[in-house]
Amino acid sequence: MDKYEIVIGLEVHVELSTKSKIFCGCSTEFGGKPNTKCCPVCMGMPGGLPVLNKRVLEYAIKAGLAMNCKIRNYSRFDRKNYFYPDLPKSYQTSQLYLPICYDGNVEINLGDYKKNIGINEIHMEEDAGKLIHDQDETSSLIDFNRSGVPLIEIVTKPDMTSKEEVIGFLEKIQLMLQYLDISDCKMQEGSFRADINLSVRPLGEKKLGTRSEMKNINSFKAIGRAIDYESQRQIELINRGGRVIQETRRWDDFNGLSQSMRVKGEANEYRYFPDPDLGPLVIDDKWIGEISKSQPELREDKIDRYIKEYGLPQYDAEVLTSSKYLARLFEETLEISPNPKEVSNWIMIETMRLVRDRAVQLEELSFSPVNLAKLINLLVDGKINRTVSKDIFEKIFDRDIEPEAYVKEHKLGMIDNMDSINLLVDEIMKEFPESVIDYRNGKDRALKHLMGQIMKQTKGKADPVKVNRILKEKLDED
Amino acid sequence: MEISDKQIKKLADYTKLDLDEKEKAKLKKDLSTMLETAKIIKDADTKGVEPLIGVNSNINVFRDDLVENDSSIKNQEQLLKIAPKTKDGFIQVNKMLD
Amino acid sequence: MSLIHLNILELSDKIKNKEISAVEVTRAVLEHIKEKDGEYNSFITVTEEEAIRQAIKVQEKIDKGQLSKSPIAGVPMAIKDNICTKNIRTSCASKMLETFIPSYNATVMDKLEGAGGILLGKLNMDECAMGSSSDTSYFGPTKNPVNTQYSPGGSSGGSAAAVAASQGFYSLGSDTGGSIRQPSSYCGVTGIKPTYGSVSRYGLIPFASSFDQIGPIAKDISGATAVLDVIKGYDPKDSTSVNKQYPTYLDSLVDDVKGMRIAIPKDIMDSPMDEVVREKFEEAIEIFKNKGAIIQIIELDTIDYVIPAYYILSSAEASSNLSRFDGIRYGYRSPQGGNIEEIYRKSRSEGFGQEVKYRVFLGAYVLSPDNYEDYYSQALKVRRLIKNEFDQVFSKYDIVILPSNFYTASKIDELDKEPIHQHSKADNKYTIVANMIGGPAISIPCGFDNNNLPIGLQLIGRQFGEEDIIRAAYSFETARKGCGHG
Repeated sequence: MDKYEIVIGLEVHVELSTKSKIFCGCSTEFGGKPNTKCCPVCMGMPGGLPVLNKRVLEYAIKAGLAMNCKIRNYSRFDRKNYFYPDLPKSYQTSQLYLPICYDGNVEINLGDYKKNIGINEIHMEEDAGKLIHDQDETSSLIDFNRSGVPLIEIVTKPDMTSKEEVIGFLEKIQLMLQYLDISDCKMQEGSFRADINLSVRPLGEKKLGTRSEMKNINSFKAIGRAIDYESQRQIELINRGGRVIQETRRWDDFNGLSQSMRVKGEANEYRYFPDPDLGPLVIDDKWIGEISKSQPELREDKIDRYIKEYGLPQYDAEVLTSSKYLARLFEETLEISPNPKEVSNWIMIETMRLVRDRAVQLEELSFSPVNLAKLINLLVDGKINRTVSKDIFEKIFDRDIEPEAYVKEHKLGMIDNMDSINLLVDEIMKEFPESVIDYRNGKDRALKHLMGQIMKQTKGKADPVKVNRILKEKLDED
Repeated sequence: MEISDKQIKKLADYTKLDLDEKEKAKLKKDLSTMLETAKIIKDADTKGVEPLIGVNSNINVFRDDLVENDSSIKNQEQLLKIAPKTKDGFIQVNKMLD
Repeated sequence: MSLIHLNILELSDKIKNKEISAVEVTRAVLEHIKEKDGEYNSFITVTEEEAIRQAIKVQEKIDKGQLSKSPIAGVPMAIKDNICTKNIRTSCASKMLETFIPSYNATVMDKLEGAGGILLGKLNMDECAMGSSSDTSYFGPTKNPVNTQYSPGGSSGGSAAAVAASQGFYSLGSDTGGSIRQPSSYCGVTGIKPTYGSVSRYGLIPFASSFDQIGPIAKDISGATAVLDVIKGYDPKDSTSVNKQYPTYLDSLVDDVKGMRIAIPKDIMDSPMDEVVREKFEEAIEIFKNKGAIIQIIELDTIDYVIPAYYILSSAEASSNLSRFDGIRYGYRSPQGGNIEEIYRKSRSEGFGQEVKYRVFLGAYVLSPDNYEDYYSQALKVRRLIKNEFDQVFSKYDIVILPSNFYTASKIDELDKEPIHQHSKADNKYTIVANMIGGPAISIPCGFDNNNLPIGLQLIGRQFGEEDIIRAAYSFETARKGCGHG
């Protein structure tokens, strides 16, 4: 039996996080009552005309620049013509001939090796509405709230050869798009959807095999399963003497298999042609330069900076940048508490512990970095001890309390003024006269016992250095 | 130029339009005549000529990213009033096998 | 002269001077429509109650001294039934949209309402604006009020007929390849196809997006110009609308063409043409000459491309534009429809007439994988060649003139039932060319043939050259009135 190589290219649809739709002023907000966030334009009523949301173009260019694409100076929209009940105009306004971004690449890191994944193009288009088949016995229902929500479609070259590479690529661009702040990239809500073009060929063969396109994959886990299943299916088919046909297949994650949806036509079966309702986009290098300048710092640069500027270990830098929410928390906390390693620990250890305990998403973290920073400062300045600080952090995490006021109110601060410490020492010496005598008789252990009693009674809040000094002084005095 | 039945069927699939036999025959004839006349377009010397898609010089027409439209139930009622079949605020078609 | 036969500016003055009220005149025209429209079938829908209500409102405004700057305040009108009117059925003369009531106005409708226009109803047309005789309407053919045995032309046949029959002081039509000018010519009225992008297309049910333009039809050039002044202008809802300073076109109603450079295409000299049409055209040339215009014959290399290129491009756009009529969200859904494919096929096959189906097929054909390069893509390039040549022409000349139609209106029972072939007529390339290059054009009456049917003169201008063609048309009209025509 021949050994086979799997070849995978992706088409990734990303919903952009604009406030309004791509061609009309309807809200893009997720959810809500059906057919409320609609108007004559996105419902495809006759006479409705599209006007492009400028932010969609800027977001597409941002994505392109981050993926090392060239940006087209002259770009247009085309109509992709096909009938489907969720497609109100019976054409999708998209880009075929002159997509806004082309010819880019994204480097992925698989631990033991790195690889460049080529990007054929990124184009802008509108999302369709939603068809619901399971709500009614005898009919299918249509909601056009999503119709006209802006998308970019990222089309890769067939450069991936395993599910690890595919997931590595998807995680990489998901994070990138989140850092760019142009999409929330939630797979469950459908704002980040990957179609998988997969073919197999005998190892060593140069020519590509016939590919199938798999749709409807809603999680990274499902992507792995779908790739395993589909590559196996194709290999077995070929081994049985069969032939793979070019078709669109639907992934059924529940049953763990893919099913044929339709035999896929070539792109030109959609009778694409330039949309006469929308003029060309002319983008000069100055504009591209401005957008480029406004790009936020992406993960790789952050990792480098965290190591160089803050002296963090590689591991810390990677964990902190694994989510834009963590990176933001780190940087904002650091502004008020300039103790990089301490801040890093608080985020990597304590924050992540509570994130797991409370089962919250990182994007839902609601406490203020200012409060975390103040807490860390109290600890670093010796105003509170570590045990107390951990207790207070839970309260910050859950209720975003202000730590300085809290410490004062609950008297959790360190006892470090001389009068209080003198008093404490006097009291403890009165309470344990035998220990005092023992010490004076040369039993050093008695000092430790007295120290321990003070710390016990103050719940560790007494400054141990000062207590030790004064206790010794007083014991040695008489 | 002859238009084949296969081509007509393909066009009917594209356009979701069915023709009866009489209409089909007439369409074939019309299309052929049309293509005869269009031969000069096919044969025109357009080397180096850029396609002209819009006749005016409008470029970069944008709107700002603002929510301007109503998204109330009243809006839904207004939009669905003219729909052939609705249910619970949805537009309804016979059950589709998805 | 009876009230209903006044021209727009005369009527507007009388209303402003309180000689007549908007309500009075609206009632008079409605009465006339009721009496006569059985004969002409210009209207698909008459909005009697709304019209009176609107007239009362407008009169109140006029009484308060508002609308004093509007040249059309209180003047009743009607518009083609492919222009969306809020809460008023907009059918496109198609079974497909027989029950379609838009929840929105076309921008032009908002503008007319804002200027105190009073809508009498919606006008008949060829189904989906495809045709040139107004006989493909689902609501039956319109007849030419000049002689009801004849067609009014099309597709804006109802718009031209209504004005000719004094069923409204002006109307709006739409023009994709001559659909305002040809019926205006056949009915003896004045129609303007404005520069592409100067009148918003928002709310116009599209036929071919890169050709369509809404324009006014009135009895004379001053009326049509007054309406154009109201409806023109930038609209942020239409990406093809041009954002610029527009002049007041009424200022161009000046009787002076001295030094104006006028071109006449050479090939029309050898083209078959009704002899009276030729005669009247030659008289028109004389008028311009006598007024000091400079007239020259020009040769055009690309003119024979116009018709086939138009058919390819307009049908392609139409096939896509008309896809949204699928029986799902509005419009006709066949009661026969079972599964989704059947809903599509039955609704569309039953909802559209033959002519529409043919054009949609043709459009799908030229966009098909095997034909895209040969036909569609080539036609786009040819369109540039045509545009380039006319840019040259308009660098040397201010306007191009020729007969709007080489023959007058056809008898309804002799209509060629194959409208696709009608467009192979030689005159059509000169109406279509204005849409091809996006320039403005006017058809203005220039006499009658032996059957007393109207003849039109077409004046084509450069893009945004409305001022030139309006001035020329006004000068011409003034000269003809001076000779006792009019």
